[in-house]
Amino acid sequence: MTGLLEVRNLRKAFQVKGADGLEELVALEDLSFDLARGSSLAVVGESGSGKTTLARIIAGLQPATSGSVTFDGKPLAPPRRLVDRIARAREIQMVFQDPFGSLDPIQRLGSSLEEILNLHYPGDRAWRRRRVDELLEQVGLSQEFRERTPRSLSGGQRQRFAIAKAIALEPRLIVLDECVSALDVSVQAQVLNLLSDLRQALGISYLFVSHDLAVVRQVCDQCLVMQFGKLVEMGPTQLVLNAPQEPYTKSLLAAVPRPGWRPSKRTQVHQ
Amino acid sequence: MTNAIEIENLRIDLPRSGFRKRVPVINDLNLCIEEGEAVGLVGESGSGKSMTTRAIMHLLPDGAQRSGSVRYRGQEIADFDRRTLALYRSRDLGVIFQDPRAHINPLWTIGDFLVEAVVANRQMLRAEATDRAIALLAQVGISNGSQRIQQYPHQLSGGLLQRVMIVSALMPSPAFILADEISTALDVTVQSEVMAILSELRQSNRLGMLFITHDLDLAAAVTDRLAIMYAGSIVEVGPSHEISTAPKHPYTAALMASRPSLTEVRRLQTVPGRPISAFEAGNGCVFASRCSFAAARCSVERPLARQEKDRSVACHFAADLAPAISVAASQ
Repeated sequence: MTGLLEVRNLRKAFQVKGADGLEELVALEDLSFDLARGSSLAVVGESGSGKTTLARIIAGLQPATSGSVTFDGKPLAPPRRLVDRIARAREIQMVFQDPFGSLDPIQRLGSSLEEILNLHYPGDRAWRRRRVDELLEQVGLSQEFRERTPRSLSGGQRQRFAIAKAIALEPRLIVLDECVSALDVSVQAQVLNLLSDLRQALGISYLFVSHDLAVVRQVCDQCLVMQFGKLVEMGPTQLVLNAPQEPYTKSLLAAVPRPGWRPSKRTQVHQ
Repeated sequence: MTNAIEIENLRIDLPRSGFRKRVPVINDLNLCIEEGEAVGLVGESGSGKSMTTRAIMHLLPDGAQRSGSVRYRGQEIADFDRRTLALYRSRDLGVIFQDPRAHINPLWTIGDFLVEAVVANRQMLRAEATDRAIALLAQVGISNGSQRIQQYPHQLSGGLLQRVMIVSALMPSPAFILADEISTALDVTVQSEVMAILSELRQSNRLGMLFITHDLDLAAAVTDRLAIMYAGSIVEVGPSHEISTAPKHPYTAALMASRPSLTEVRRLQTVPGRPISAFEAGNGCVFASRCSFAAARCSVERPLARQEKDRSVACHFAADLAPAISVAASQ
């Protein structure tokens, strides 16, 4: 397996208004890692760790301040022209956390998928229709959903549809940002199984951003732990979660409620 | 032991767009909470958990129709006059909500926010209340309280602000805490800390608590008993450690089996469909449409809660299903 994504010395700083003029808020600092072809990499950390910023840079929604991202051997810069954006869309797709805010509430599912396909592969209407059927089926939505609108769907159905849109162009990487955290537990399980199945069937890679370590264990073979924009620990998910090396990873794991667990006060200083 | 809160045959109907008549959101709810006892109310979205807290506060949405009874220390709260109700809400209950930023005035300092209620209901003088606020802030791990009370909400992190909300709930020395998804917006390490602080304070002050959450493991860790709620009804009640290790209702078992594990990877057991609301449930068992054990009887006849020692389960086949359910839950 070779690297699909190579991230080197990535840095992102935002200019924010501080007490005396503009201050620099560093969201990512000197971040380097590889994502192997066909692999599923978890990015875990607490709020403010920079995981969403990382996801947005890789999806091309935001430029980095410095450092490089290489995708399939080619440097990945934010797309400037429309053709670049369209080319990028065939390689990398993103699924967002909130299935209520990230979909057009009134566009029918079928027409929404057809629009994507038509933009990239114009012509052949019959093929597009077949492909829409196939996509809906792949995410477990029956044919009747073609005529439904996102507004009429439940949270789980919306997230399935968001996944159908993401796989429509058969990208090689999907960036998923907290994509199951807004779902109820019983529905979340359906989407997690779907994500595992799709990766097996299609060989897609995932960059899976999450704060939930149990969810991460379910869908990711590699795991990267972040804190304050820096990489804390990275390795196979099994290893990182079974035998964490860093105190921060240990404290994250210790705080997850599970049978027999008791809450405890942190020893580290809270700002 | 006496009961702090008694909810009996509570039913709440709300107007809903697209429906001519009101639709039920809570149906035949029964729950007692003893003085000093912590009960966890666990359920998914639409199950009626938050509406239950609003019923206890007697703060139902406009147009709500309520039947049944909610009693505080034996008194029906619907019979309270305005003054008694105001005192009940402000002194007897301490309420903590999910999102601290939505329940604090951003233009007021932390100190003004904390002392407002107890000064307004003439429980304390301002100076006295300020001292109490600083003392309570110290108890929740905020040692520089005298500086913090001069700060504004935007200057505090989510974890600190949620601790401020706990302090605000404790200011009037309530007898009972209502905590509605109070740690959902917090990071796990902060959640652990906030819950540890709340448990400690609750035990030292012998406060009763209704702890509402969608996280069964979290609820089991901080409560004495658990009530599992689905589609406006409670399907199972019992001691927390028993429910979380040996559930008897198929829904409780399904909830546990669908949660990914921190220690192993296995195919998740899924529950088909989505969680429904009370008005979609029909006449049968609320869980019948998604239950893998459902029989013909389940979709026509609502099972009554059957009491067995300190456990209660609303399932026609709870006794027969016990072996199958324990397998399902442990998978």
